[in-house]
Amino acid sequence: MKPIFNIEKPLSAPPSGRLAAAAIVLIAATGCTGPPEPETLTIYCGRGESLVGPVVEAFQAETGIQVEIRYGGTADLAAQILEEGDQSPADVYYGQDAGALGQLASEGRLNPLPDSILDRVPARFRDPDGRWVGTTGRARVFVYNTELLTPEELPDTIQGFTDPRWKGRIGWAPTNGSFQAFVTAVRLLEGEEAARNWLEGVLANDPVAYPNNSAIYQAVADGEVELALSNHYYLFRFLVQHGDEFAARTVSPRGGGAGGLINISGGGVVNTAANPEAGERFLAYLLTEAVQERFAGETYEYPLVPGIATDPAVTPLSEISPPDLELGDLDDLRGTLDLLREVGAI
Amino acid sequence: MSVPVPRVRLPSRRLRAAGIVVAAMCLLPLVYLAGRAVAGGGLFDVLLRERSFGIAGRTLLLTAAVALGSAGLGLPLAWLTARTDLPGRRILTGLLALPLAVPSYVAAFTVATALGPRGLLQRALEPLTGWERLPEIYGFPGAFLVLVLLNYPYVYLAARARFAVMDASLEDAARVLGAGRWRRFRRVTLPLLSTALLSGGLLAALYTLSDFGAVSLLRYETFTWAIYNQVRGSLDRHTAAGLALLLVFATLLVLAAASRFEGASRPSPGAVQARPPRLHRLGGWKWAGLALASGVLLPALVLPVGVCLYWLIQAPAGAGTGLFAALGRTGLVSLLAAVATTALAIPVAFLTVRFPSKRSSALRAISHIGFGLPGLVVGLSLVFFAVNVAPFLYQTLALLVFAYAVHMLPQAIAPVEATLGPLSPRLDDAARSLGARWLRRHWRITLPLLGPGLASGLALVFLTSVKELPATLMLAPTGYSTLATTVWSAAENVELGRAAAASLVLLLFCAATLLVVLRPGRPLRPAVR
Repeated sequence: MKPIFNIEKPLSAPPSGRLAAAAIVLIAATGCTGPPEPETLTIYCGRGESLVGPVVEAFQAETGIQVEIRYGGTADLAAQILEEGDQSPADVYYGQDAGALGQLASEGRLNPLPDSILDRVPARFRDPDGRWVGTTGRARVFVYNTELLTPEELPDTIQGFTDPRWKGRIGWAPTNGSFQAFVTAVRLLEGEEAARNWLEGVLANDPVAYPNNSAIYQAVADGEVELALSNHYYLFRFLVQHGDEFAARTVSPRGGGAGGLINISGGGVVNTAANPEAGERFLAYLLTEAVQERFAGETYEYPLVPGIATDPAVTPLSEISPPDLELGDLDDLRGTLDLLREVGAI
Repeated sequence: MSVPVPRVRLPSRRLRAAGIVVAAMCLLPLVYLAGRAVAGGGLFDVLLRERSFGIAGRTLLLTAAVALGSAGLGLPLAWLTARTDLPGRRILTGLLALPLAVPSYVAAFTVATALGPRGLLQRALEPLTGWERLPEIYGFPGAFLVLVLLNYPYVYLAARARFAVMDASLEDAARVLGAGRWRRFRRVTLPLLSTALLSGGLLAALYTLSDFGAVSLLRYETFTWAIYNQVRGSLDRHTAAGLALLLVFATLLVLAAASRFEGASRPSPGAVQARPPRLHRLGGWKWAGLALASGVLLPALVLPVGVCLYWLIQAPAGAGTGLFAALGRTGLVSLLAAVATTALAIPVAFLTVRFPSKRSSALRAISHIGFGLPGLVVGLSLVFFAVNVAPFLYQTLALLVFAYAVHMLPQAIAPVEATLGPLSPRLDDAARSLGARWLRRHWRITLPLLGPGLASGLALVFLTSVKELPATLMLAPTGYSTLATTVWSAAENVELGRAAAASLVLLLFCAATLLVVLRPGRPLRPAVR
């Protein structure tokens, strides 16, 4: 047998037991912070920090309300509020999909808002039962590669995507929330059968599936695909970074229909909010002219309060023929997911 | 030569209590999933769907392939850096572990950008070859490639740790007995390495089960992708829970497969280094060795770093704001997670290695469940438990550290087990017979002997905590933005410069940590033969 003393010194020093002890003390100590003070407003925010952060700071400075803001994915935060149940610390849910807002509302998790907030935006950009309000609009568009296609060659409506001449040339993002909301719109506007036929027609053209809208724009600009379905405002973010040589542009479908759907970002006050009044003040603040103008300039989204100008680079809302649709009805995502699965799109 | 493990001994009360605590912790996600899946009928839905079988098949295929691929890549790299005179092996030793710190969504995105049908490589080749498209990378090939490149370090680190303590006199004995180089490797070295290969391969397999970034960006539908689609698409936590239960079942299958191999190849205690090995002279083969190492580092490390640098140069404005604070927060929570997780791994490793029984195998299985589950599921389950059972802990640093521990425990268990396996329990007995008390025995004998395993465990948990995203977004204290959440939020806003800057800081931070922990040069410089 080997003499035990011959065993070599270990490669590295063992971790200090005191360090471990300190860690445990620290864990215990941090565990003792109680629930947030009632004076604070807690926002669960599915929108970007660089966009919302400065707005929140201005809101704090103006109102003296202390804001705690938790950033995350729009759907993840909605799921988190559902999981938290009655104990949710969230006062306001602020996300970028009418579907998620609709689902929270239909689960009874959003309080009705006062008319003073709801009336700031046209009826089609808010919940008919008044539980959430849109703050900005985001249009569905066709994205095309400017080196491979001219605007005249593009389809008039989404039906054009089923034309065999696009075989192997188109892209979409079937797992993306905006795309799924759009498919829900197709189902509502044209019926289940037509939606299924459309999906099957597009699938017959071997569309390339991308994980998100940024990837779609990049792929179109690279020429990996020539034509794709996406949201309008990404284009301008790419143009800011890559300049005018970026080889992708967008059009709104000339023929209208579900392809011209305008979804929203928006918010509501959570039913278990500790501080619902401050939550309403925040939503009202998002609909002030200053903040609407800021959103229009920074995100290239559509301001929803009438009278605020859209960024000049963006196709004006008046030139888009959006479908006649209640955005709150977009909450039947389960049916859309089932359909997408049945046809094999996801 | 070998010291038989006395079977009659029973674990101390203290050890058993620690095992029960760890098991209770690790069972929380399972309890949550069972509740959600059964109450909401999610399990029933999922089992009735024909589609679930396809997902199961794809998940298991990818998992097995990544485990084998990681072993096939990690073993030669460990040998090259630990046992040969490969030029630059000190630097390579650290660099080769670094892909572990690359978030899978970053690696998958850059691989797709570079190797996609009309990606950077195609555009570079088109003028030379006229190829208008490269073969499809999406689906199995891309997911497999990315996951092997990110996970081989599990095998590489485990095999390196084993090489470091392996007794070269065994190989010498084989040589004296006339065994050729290949035969010595196959009959002596490989069996001594088998535990390292298995534990590293197991971690690679479990990581694959839980991965979302690579499979979603490269479009290969596994359970984890299906779970995310349920939660993100329709907030359907019941169906998601049903799918996650199937994932738990897959984790148990993988564990069972691993322990079948293990049973046949447990190394005998005592096979610990008495004499350090000689370094193999590679001669002209050093070019092949360097080609292999750079062939791995190019796509796994150089490419992501290059793409990040490119974006940073394209859009440098405001890229660095707040990164220093985020770095501090990332460091603090990852350090706490590494220490807490490694501390919890010690009792598990002692129970499974020193007191093999049905109960300790069950503990081992339970402690591995969390690693096979996606971070989103671990996060949701702890949201549920915290708000209902311990609301004062909700969204505190303590809960986040707890979540990391539940999610990452196997990464600390594996290296501690591997170091503990060959150690004789008689050391402890000897100290006891000399009158040393519990604390003194463990402080003076156990911990120093476990040193290399503990260091690996700390490093693995630290590196993977740094990049963890979904649980961090849910459970971190409000406003506690880390490097990983900064990368995510910047990428969401198409602020590619900022996303790139945060990714680069993350990687540099991990590289610096590895330099400290790995310390590539062994204290004893072996003579070149």
